[in-house]
Amino acid sequence: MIYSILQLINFILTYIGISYSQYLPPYGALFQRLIVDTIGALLIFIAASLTIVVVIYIFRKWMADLQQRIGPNRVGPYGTLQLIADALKMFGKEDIIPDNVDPILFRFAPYLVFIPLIMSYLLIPYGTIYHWAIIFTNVNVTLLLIIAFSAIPPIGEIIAGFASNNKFSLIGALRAAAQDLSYEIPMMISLIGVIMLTGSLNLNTISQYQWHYIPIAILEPIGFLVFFVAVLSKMAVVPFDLPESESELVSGFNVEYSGLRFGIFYLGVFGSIFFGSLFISTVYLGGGSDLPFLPGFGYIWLLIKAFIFTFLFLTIWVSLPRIRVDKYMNFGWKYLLPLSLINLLWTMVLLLFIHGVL
Amino acid sequence: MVKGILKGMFVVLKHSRRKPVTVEYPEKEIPWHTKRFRGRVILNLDTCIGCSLCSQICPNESDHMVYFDYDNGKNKRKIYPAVNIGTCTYCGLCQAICPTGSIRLSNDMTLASFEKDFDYLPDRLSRTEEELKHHD
Amino acid sequence: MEEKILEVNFGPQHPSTHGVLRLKVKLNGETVLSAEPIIGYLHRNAEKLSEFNYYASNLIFMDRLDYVGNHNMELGYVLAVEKLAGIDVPERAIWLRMLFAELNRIASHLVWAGTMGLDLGMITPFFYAFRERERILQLFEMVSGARLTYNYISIGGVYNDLPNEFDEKFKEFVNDFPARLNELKSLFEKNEIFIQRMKGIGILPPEVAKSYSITGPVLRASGVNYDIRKISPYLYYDKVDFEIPISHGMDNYARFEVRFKEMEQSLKIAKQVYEKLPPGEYQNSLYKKSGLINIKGAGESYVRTESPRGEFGVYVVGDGSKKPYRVRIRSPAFHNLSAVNEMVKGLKIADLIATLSTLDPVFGEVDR
Repeated sequence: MIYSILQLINFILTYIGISYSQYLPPYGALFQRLIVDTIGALLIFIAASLTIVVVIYIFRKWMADLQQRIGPNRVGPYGTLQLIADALKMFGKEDIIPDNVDPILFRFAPYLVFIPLIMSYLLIPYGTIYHWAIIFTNVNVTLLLIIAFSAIPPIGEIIAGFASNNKFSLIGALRAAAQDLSYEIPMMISLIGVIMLTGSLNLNTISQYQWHYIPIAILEPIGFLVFFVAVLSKMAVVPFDLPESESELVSGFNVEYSGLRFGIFYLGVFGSIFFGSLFISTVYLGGGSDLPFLPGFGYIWLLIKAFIFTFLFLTIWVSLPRIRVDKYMNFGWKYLLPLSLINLLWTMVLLLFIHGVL
Repeated sequence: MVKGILKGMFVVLKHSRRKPVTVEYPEKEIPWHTKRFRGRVILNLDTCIGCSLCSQICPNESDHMVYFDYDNGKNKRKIYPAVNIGTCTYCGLCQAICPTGSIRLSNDMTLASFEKDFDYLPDRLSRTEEELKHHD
Repeated sequence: MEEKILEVNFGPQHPSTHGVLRLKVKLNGETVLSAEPIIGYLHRNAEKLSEFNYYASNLIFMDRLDYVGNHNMELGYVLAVEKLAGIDVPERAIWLRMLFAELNRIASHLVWAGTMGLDLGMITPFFYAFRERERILQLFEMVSGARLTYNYISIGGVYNDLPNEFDEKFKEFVNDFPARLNELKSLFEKNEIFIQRMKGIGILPPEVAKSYSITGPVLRASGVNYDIRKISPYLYYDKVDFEIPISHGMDNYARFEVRFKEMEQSLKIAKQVYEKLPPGEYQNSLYKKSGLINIKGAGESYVRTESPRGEFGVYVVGDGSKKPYRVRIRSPAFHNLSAVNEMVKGLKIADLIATLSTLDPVFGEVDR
């Protein structure tokens, strides 16, 4: 039997005795549903934050390893409690708001960047452990929802850069707008190839398809590469970290943010790194689905694939220089876009071949 | 098109197999020689002849001569150098110019203490930091 | 639509202006129209203070001028004072001075390589470059006793001789360094993103460079064959065998290549000098110990040497007493920095930062 997490929470609540579905139907069932969904969302919020903390720890230790030094190793055994010390320090800082900023937009912008990211963690199918499927949403359009949620953080960055009364952050905000516009289109066109092959927008179906046949990365290598570069650009790491170029614009759009507000931007960067690796391993490598001869371990395969991509992204961050703005847009419009259109043609040929016409 | 980038990334990845070069300082010792390290100024009261050359050559006047009642047979005027180790630049000129080798720079680099006064009079100048800590 | 000009202050506190430099930049969108440098934030008054001290005490001010390539600064001052006062220097001391000047040139170019990577966004080459520089600093500490403010070259020779442990460590360094240098270079050399950002940016034609009196690797990357070690050799540079790397590219990539080749040539000189070291005294015995105070001179003298940044000149005027009358320093980074406005017209902000990093200014020297 396959249970989902929401069914599990429902089961626990009934077992304890808190169950409203028999009172005053249909309002009781709706109320029950509301409680179950809220508990599920809180669980994912805590789990996502803990995951981001683990990713930051891995980043600091891996970067130190590549540079022949030791990372954090004083706070806690092998430095594991370092991030908690940093978070406590950020909580205790004074909240400095500069003079002539726009009062509502300045305070509101960090949440616009962070909350859609956490909401996107709800939509990914995490695979199975024994008979239990860790799935939070099962609507038919999760891929579309993820694309919609990933379009909101650049708006947050532009608002943050514009509302701080500072010329450096204004330049950073303009660069964020240029970056968002140029690389979303190749990403979506390569995703169209995936949708045409699998025939649905549901991430669950896409990962199950790859269990039955072969991973889509092998069927569509060009699309995989284009999607890889586009996701790398969405995460704002070097070589594509234009809105936040640290050595040129002194932190770009988040110059005027300090303390906990800066902490939220910082968590957003690492959250999007891990989310990007989860996304690419679900859509192109079949993350979360079991191997046919070894059922029951889907979650572990997803974690392995996501961590391999995370290490790859972090290595790219540490070793490459930054691209200039106009060369960046050049690359996006003149190279990535035609490549993604060629990928679309290739997918059409593949489909005709699969359905036996060729 | 990406061959150069991949080669650079491969060089970076090769470094993860090498051991770290950090020395975790107070627990482990520094593994190279520090025999000539220029640390705090130290004075040998028994051989100083009071010629005052060290205070003339000191570039920012951290070294000045004061009267100190200690008789070692060579110092007729009984004047000895007193050094302000806060403004001292640890250049070593006083060590280079001293004709008898009485004032020199030791290897002492742990200079933190609870005393607020940086102006070391000759009797304090003649002891190392370890002795000063245990004496107080 | 009319142009809107945005005037931005790349202020004294900035992660990549190599020190305290203030640039007033006029921008049109992302294009730079003009960049005006404003200096003076690190002025420590070395020239006037030198008039109140003896000749030997002024060495510590010269040490702290260019704090990454110190031996060259001390060398310039010491040669000028020796010419003024007529002091002889024994053979072994001259060879030792050459050895340490060349090792310090390697150390200074390694700092440049690390910070150039940081300005472009790469974090890792900084650590690799400083790891190699650490070995050189250990050699210096073994000989002189300090890691940054050496105070090693004295008037009349050097202060200390080489200890016994120097031999093994020096040979280890010389054997390991070429491979590590190639590794560091390979992170930059064929990287497509690096080439895209450096080729064709910051062009400095040779006539413009000569009119701004720019010297050093910046001039040699524009095609002019001018190095003081070959034109008017000062220590025993005419007795060792080395080449001057020149490039005709005139852009940032040419300056990058010239400095890496200079590091290889400096290693070659250091190896030859170490083999040719004669035994003997290391300091003129008249000016040892208490003779340091007795240096007197009357007249004027000017000596120029080749520091890692260009032509470093010291002009000393003495009036017969034990303290100098006037010490004037011609600093190469000051003149190199004045050409920034010419080089960045019409480029983007990112190119401004990259060009400034290949000019390699050190603000202790610019502001004195």
